[in-house]
Amino acid sequence: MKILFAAPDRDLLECFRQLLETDLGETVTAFDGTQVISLLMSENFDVLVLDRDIPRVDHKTVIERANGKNVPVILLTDEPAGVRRTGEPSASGRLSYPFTFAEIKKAILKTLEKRGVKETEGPVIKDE
Amino acid sequence: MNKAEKKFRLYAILVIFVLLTTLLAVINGVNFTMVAGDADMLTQTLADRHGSFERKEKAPGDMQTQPDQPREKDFRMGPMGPDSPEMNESLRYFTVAFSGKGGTVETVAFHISAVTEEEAWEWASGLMKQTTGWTRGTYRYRVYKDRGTVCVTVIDQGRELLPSFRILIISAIGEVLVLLIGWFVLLAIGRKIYAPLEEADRKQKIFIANANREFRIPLTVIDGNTELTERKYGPDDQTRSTHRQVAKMNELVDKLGSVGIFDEEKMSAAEISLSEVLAAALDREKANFSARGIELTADIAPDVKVKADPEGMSKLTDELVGNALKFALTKAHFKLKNENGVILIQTQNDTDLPDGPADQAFDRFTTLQNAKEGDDGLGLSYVKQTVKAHNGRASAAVSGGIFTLRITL
Repeated sequence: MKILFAAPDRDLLECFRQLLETDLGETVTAFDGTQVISLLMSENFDVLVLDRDIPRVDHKTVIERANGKNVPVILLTDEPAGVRRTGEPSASGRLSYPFTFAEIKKAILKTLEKRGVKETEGPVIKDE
Repeated sequence: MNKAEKKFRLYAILVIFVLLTTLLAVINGVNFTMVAGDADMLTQTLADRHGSFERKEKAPGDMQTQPDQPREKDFRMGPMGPDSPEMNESLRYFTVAFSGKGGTVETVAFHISAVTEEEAWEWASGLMKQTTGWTRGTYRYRVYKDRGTVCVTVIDQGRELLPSFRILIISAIGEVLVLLIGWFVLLAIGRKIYAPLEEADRKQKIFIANANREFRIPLTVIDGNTELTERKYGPDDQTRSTHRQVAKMNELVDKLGSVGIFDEEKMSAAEISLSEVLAAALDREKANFSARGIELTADIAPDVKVKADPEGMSKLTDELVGNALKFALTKAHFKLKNENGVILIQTQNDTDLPDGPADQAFDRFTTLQNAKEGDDGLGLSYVKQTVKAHNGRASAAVSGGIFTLRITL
C-alpha cells in the first residue's frame, strides 16, 4: 500500500507519516499542491490524504487530477463534521480536524476496502 | 438588510415614537388643563357674582345683594386673562337656578345663542347632581348653591378650545411626519450607525472561527505525537493524560465550531414535530439518566409542531437533555406544550444553586457554580442563539432548589 499524505503542516506530516508507515505501508508526504500533482504524475498511489487548505494549487484541482489517475481522495477539513461546502469535487472520504490516528487509519482502510486494496506493511500490492 | 439591522431600526423608531408621544401628550395635556383651569376660574367668578356678570340682574332670592358691574380690581389676570373686563361682553353662558321649594326653575342669566332657554333648563337639570366639568364637548359647567337655590352655570369654551385642538392636530400630524422622516433617515444612515455593531459581531464570529480552525491541526499533531511516543516507549500516565486532555479539547473545538457556524441567515425552516424531537432526545439519554440515579419525568403534549430549522431544533433539545443529565441531582422534568400558539419548553431539575436568576448560564464560555470539571459553557449558549434566531425567548432561574429553564417559541 502506498499513501500520499498532503498537508500544510510539517509536524503533522512527519508525525502521521511515521504512524501510517508503521501500520499501513509506505507513506509519501507533500507540503503543497504542486508537489502533490507532481507526485501523482510520477508515482502510483493507492490513496491520497489531502488537506483542503493545501497551498499553491487549489484543492479542487488536486482532487480532479487524483480522480483522473483513479486515486481515491480523503479530504481533511477544518470544518465541523457534517458541514460540507457545495460545488466541491467528490472525494472518497472526509475527515474533520482534529482527528486521532485511529480515525484516519479507519478512514483510509474503509476507502481502500471499497477499492479492493488490502492492508500491507510493504510495497503496494493490488488485487488483480 | 439583515434581521438584526431591521430590529435595530424598529427599536430606534419605537424609541422616537415613545419619546415624542410622551412629550406631545404632556404639552397637550398641560394646554387642555390650563384651558379647563381658566374656564373654572370664570365659572367661579360667575358663582361669586350669583351667576351673572350683568348689572342689576335679577338674582334669585335677594335683590338687595345684587352685585355691581365687575370692577377692574376684581380681575386677577388682567385684560389678557379669562377674567378680563371684556369677558362680560364676550362670554357665552347661561345660569339657571333651581329652587328647592316647589321645584321652580329660573333663568338667572342667558347670554348664549346655541340653545333656547327651555333647552338650557333641561340641560342644566341634567347637571344638577354634578359639581364641575366638561359637558357636550366644549362647554364648562359649575353647580353651586346660592342663597337657597341650586345654580348651574354653563359657559361655552369652544372658541378658547379651538387653538388647543389645533395644537393637538398639528402635534399628531407632526409626530407622524417626524416618524416618517425618522424612518427614512434611519434607512439612509442606519447602515452607518449599525455598521460598528455589526462589525463587532462579525469580528467575534471570525475570531471564534479562526480560533476554532487554529486549534484543530495542533490538537491532531499533539495526539499523533503522543501515539508515537506510546509506540516507542509504551503508554504511561502522562501519555494517557495527554490523550484525555486532547479528547476534551477536541470536544470543545467541535462545540465551538457548532456555535460559530450557527448562522440565522442560513438556517432552513420546515415544519417539525417538536414533540417527537424532544421525545427522541429523551429516549436517547434515558439509560444515562437511570445510570446516574436521576428520576426522569416528562409531560410532552402530543403533536406540538413548529416551523424551525430542523438541525437547530435537534441540537437544542439534545443540549437541554444533556444539560439536565449533567446537572440534575436526583430528578429532572421536561415539559412541552402549546399555549395559545406559544410553544413552551421547560426543563426543571433539582440543584444546589442558590435562588435567583441564572441567565448567565446562556453566556458563551460561562458556567454556573455547579459546573463540573470539563464544562465548557457552550451548550446553553447554543440554545440561546438558536432560540433567538427563531424569535423566541429563553430564561433560567433557580427557586427553592429547582433550576428551571424556560423557552418560548
